[in-house]
Amino acid sequence: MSLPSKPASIDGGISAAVVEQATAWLVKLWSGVATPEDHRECARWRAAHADHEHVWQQLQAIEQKLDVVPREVASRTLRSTSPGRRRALKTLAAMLAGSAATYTASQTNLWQRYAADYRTETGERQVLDLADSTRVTLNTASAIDVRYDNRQRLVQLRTGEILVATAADPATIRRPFAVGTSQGIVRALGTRFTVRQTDEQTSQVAVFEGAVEIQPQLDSSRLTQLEAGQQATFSAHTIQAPRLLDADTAAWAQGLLIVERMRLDEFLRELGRYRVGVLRCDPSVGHLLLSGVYTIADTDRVLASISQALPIRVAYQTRYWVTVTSS
Amino acid sequence: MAWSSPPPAALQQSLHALYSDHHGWLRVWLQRKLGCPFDAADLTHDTYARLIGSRRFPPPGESRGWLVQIAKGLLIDLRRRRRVETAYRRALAILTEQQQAPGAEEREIALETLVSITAILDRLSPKAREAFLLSRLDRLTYPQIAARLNVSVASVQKYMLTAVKACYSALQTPHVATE
Repeated sequence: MSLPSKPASIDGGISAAVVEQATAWLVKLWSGVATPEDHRECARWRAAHADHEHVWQQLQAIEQKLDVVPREVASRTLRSTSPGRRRALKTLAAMLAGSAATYTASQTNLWQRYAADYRTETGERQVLDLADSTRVTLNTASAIDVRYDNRQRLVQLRTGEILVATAADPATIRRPFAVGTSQGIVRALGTRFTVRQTDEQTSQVAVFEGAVEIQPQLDSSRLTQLEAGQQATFSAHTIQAPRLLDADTAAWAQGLLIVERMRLDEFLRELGRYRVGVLRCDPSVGHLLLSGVYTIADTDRVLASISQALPIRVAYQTRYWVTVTSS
Repeated sequence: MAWSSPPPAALQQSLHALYSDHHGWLRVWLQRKLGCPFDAADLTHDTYARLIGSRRFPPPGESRGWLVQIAKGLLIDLRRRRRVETAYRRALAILTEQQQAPGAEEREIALETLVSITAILDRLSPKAREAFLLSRLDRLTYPQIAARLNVSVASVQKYMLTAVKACYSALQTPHVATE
């Protein structure tokens, strides 16, 4: 096809077979398990014909291209531009179904709260202004550790839920702000957002301003960006597709629980977070729907008011053992 | 169909006709797709520039089809570019505290590169795309990638072959190859 001493021009057409062979060699050497013999053989192949070496050199441009951009920047950019990022929704659904309603704080949660830097009791709410003017509001039965150093600003959410309003870093070198949960990292970019440790397996993030990036702990390649107006749930392995933000998600910061056509069992699970003791929902009334604005400071009053609105009865075995049944 | 070397006068004339007959509806069509009159004006201009650059002119009666074909390609390019731009800016915002923020020129080069790589990756299946990134960016071995993607090592090899071939053919096309 061409003179042996000189590579054929691209237009003149290097044979497809040579391209095929060069590609195969490259893929072999990139495997990470190529032997020294593989490398020697490849070198022999390249030396065998000028065309071989020519195509080989052209293929090196792939690596050179990738080297133009710092690896981590390239990784983030290229992974978040993937058009077909499908999420393991089924896995997540199964996971959520598996985490049965626990109406009381588990022992682990209790321990987490006592060992933490800042914590709130059940029914309590606390606003913290951190050293960089970032404001963190802790919801009921929540605990965080604050880890600020010269590399990063990290708030580790041990249990519960927080509302974060980040401030520009006063340090001369900008440090990233992030919230860690048991399932991964939520990185913020000038933002107001909430993070909730929903249960042992999942965390939930809702973004009101700016944007955040979620990185599940066990799959660092699965990055997802959430924009203002979106919320998403994630586990250590996977991130659920972002959904439209429920604007009332952060109403607790104002001491309110705002719901729109929420199932009674779900509502009581929410209310239970603000209440010491057990709050049980009889399955026969769990499907009833509820809308309204409730003050979480007085959960007994909330229970009294919903018992007026729905065909239910609130039975107090003790103050700390309440069951909601059909009336 | 293709003019190998059209005489300048004739070129001027046919270009003029092509422009006056078609640029109006083309701009309207692009504006409907883009929702922005300025982007639409730019892409209309780029469509003609691309056509002239190709040195191939549509035969009579096929002008519309040709222009739409070119404009569609440019639309895809523009959307990809925007997508990469946003992602790149995010990545920088998150990561620059670790190193010096790149200068304007460096950023432009990086962005150009990322756009061209994305154009290649967009032609791959999600698994081939991820296999390629895990190999080239994360430096995982094929057995590690296989475990990560839950496929056989032979499949990883197949993905990598597809990816490298896509890269090679992109390197051969004029606007990606080195000038």
